[in-house]
Amino acid sequence: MKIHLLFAAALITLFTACGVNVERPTDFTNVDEAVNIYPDYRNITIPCNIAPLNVQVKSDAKAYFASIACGNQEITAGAGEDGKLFFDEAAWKELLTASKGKQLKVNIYAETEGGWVKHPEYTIDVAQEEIDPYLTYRLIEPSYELYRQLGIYQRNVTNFDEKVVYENNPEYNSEDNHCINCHNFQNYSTDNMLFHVRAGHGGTVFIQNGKARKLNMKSDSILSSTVYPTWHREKPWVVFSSNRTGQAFHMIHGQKIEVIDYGSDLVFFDVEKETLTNILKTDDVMETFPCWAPDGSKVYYCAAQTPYLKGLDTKAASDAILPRYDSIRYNLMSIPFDAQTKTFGTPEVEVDCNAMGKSAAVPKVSPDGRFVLFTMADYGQFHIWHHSADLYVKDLQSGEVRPLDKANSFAADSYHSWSSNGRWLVVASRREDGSYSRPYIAYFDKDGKDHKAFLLPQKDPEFNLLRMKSYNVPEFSKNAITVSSETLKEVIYDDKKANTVKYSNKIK
Amino acid sequence: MATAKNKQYANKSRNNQHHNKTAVTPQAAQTEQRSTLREEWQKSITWWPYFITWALIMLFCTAIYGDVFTRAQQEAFVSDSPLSMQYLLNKDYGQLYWIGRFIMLVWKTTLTGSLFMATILTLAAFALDRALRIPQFLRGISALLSWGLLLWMVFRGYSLFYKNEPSAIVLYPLFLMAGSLLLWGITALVGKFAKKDNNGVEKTEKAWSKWNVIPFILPLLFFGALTTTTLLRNDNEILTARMQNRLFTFDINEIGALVDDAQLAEQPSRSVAAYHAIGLIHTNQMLEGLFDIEYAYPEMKLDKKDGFEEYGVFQSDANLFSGLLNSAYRTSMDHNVMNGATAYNLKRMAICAILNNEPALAEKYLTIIDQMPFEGKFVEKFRAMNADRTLVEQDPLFAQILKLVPREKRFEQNYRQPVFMGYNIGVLEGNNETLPISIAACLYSKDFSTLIERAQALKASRGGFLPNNVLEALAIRGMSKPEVYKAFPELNPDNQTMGNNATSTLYTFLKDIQAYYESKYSPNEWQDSLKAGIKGGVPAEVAKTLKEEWLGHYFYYYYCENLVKKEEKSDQNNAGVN
Repeated sequence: MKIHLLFAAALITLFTACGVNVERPTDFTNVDEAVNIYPDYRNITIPCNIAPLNVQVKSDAKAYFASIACGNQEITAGAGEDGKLFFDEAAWKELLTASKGKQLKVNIYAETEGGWVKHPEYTIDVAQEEIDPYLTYRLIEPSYELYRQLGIYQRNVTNFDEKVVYENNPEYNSEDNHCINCHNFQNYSTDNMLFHVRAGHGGTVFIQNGKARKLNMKSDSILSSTVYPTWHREKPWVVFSSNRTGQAFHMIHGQKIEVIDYGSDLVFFDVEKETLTNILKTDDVMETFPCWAPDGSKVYYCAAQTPYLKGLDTKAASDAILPRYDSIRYNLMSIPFDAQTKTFGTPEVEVDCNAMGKSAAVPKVSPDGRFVLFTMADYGQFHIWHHSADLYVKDLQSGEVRPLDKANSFAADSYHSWSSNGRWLVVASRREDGSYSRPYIAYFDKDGKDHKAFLLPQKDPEFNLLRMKSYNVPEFSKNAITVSSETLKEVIYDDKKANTVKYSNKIK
Repeated sequence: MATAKNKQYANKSRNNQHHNKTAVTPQAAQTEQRSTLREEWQKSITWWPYFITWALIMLFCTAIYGDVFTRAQQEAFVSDSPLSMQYLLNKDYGQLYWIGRFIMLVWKTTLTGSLFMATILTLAAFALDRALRIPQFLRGISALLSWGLLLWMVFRGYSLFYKNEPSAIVLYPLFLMAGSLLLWGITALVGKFAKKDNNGVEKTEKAWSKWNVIPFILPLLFFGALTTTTLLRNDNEILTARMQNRLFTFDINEIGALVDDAQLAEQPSRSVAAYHAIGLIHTNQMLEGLFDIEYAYPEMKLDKKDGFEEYGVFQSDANLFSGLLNSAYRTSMDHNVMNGATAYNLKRMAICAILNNEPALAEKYLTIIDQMPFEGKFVEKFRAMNADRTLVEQDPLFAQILKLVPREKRFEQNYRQPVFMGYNIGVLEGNNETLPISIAACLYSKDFSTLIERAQALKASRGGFLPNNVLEALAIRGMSKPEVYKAFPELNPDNQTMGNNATSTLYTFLKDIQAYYESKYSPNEWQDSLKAGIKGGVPAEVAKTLKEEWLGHYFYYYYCENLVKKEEKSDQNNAGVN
């Protein structure tokens, strides 16, 4: 069936991707009106190995012609009424290779009722630095409680290939229905990675050097299941948060959903020894979103003071926290780690977001260890549902905290990650329509400055408008995932083979 | 033609007489005439049964079940984009269903859909008759399969398309036709090489003359049986489909007609009652007309899928048309997630986004809907509204919905489920338009805890008058809480100045119940029997005797209908996050 789908898609792609043969207009009028293109690829900085930036011109013209040039090199494309401009992949690659560190000049012509017009030229900067070729994400509807078909996919960002890593049940099945989430790689390599399986056949799948196994991560000694992960760069250590999470649906709020933790702690997991150990287990402070520093000396995380939860059971905690949802604020924290003694030190406040009237989430340290990238919104922690969520960065050298003004938007800009060279960011952003998350890439130059973010290019520029799934947890990697989805399915469905992890009071 | 032929034969006869000088008797002439007529009759019998079958299937598919089929078409979202059709293509036989959904477009209108079904199914019957060498006196009998297929569709009820693949409606008739044609082809080939049994033909023709009306009766019988079964079994399904079709014209006049539609139901289902309520809301008759229909819900026959079966049919519409836009969007998204995209659902999501002032999100859904053939009119209309908010505010239907949007900044989990009921029962702050709906929800759920305050507010807003249903509810409340009479002295049974009031009417109603027990039991037994009998509500056999006079009164509803205990749902959501 998948082959037939691919065949059908290929056929449609072939017919749509061929573009239209339009000659370069020689007789045209210059107009002042900026061309309305989707996606908006104007005045951005792109990696020198990104896939072609196919666009759709949104106007009522009969035909379109586009040229992208740098020096003596140029590529062109034509379009009919639908306005879709497809650039030849090989020619595009050649152009980008020749344009590293330079600027592309883009000119778009439109054939209107009164003849051809030429819109103002815009530019695209080509960075010297490449981007990691693979981006892995989960695709799922921006849904509420129910889920059915979802999966983890890996996209090659240098072309348009999207591969299925794993897809769950296509039809709802009460016995087998399961969710998958929180995929995470060790040091941008898919050699060691993990993801969770929830509900039916629950557990955590670990892939190490091409071999997959499932572990049952439940333990009475930790608060709940293990949730947000972070791999140590070199060692087989993962720090998880352990969260009790609920959600509530706004009756009239534009943000629709509030996802709230009513308890969260940090736990340490030794992948080889399969042992869990609590790091921070408190019922009046909620700790979540851990992230190892690249040198392993610290774990950054977020924490909110919740004294009113002290001593409460699950139900009472849940009842207590919901009315306070818009006053829960997380600070950006760090806790030192001594690799020799395998002990954690005293937590420190990195950014007092509470004092700013804000709340932090998802800290991610740059590969060179200099910057911490995180999201801040007005309250709470599940910021993909908060319009006020924006990306901020703390310069760990100077202590400066600032928003990424060029990369941010008016909508929720939430889950983000760095590329392995620290020059590119990807963020799950809802700037398209406020509801469906799309991966936006932004350049972060060597001076620590962010640039305007652009949408991950697709073969058909209308693709993201038609896709009815959100992109979650976009993570870069340097290599492709090699374990097949069939193997993963076997591992997931074989509950008997899943080892149960042990709990240890001390990290051994 | 017969007369001309008669003349012809008569002339021939005279000629014969002239040339042969042989006398032709009148009897012989008559016999020859009858023989000619019979030949003509024999010829016409070949195609009349099929024409009648075709016409009756057309009639069934337009007048009887057309609403269901056109409603089903709106579940069959289709576009030429594999991305948009991914949910379908991931299924087994997904490509076949994809083709089927394009064919399903014939059901965009009842006329084209009926033409399609009638032609395909009749052709199938014709081919099968030929293949099976059905004798002339039984021509048309193979239509039994065609009628049987329609009967199967009827027996599937709403599950024919709801949460199931809707293109089966067109694919199965096509399969039947293809199979029949194939069989005909095979038997025709085989027949070429087989000996012809002339004796058999002779016998058949003799027999035919006795049974020559069967081909005309059969289609009528099949049609009669199917229609009777459909109308007896599926009136709620037909009405629900019709009401949903009306609703999605988004025309306030069509929505008003929902009230009349519900009155046609013999015993309205939950879905019919919900759309009835929507009609009442938007014609400002909620409190006046809510209890005009019977509330003894028959089970809607639906496949067990995910536990949200019948509520899933109407819940999102009930949310939307009672102003709960976020909740309507949520339940629509849930439907999308679990069952894939449908035109009906996508349209509702687009409308929610427009009303919620989310133009980019609305444009996304309109773009997706626009991929589907014959939806251009809908897209054009709502794209214009999406671009110009004043069009939304000026639209009579949408203006009313916007007035019902909640003002309380709370969560769905703070209200009982389903939220369109729970919100209206629990709401403490809202516009004037919300108040009658809120009171109606309280009356429906028999929750009188806040009735007095709400009724007082309503009375003040309506110049001192209250609808009868509200007065009757207050009268019931007054029996256990006399403080009602302080707030509403007109209900006080001791108040002689106001004539017959709701309280005295209540006593009359209760006396009718009493009269039943007095007539059925002995003077020593009736009182105990009455107390035991009406515990938890008036028994069905008693309610039956009261229905004619009291249906439409709140008393009847309160004591005799909707007697199922509702479980209190937790007002905290413990759902995990995906």
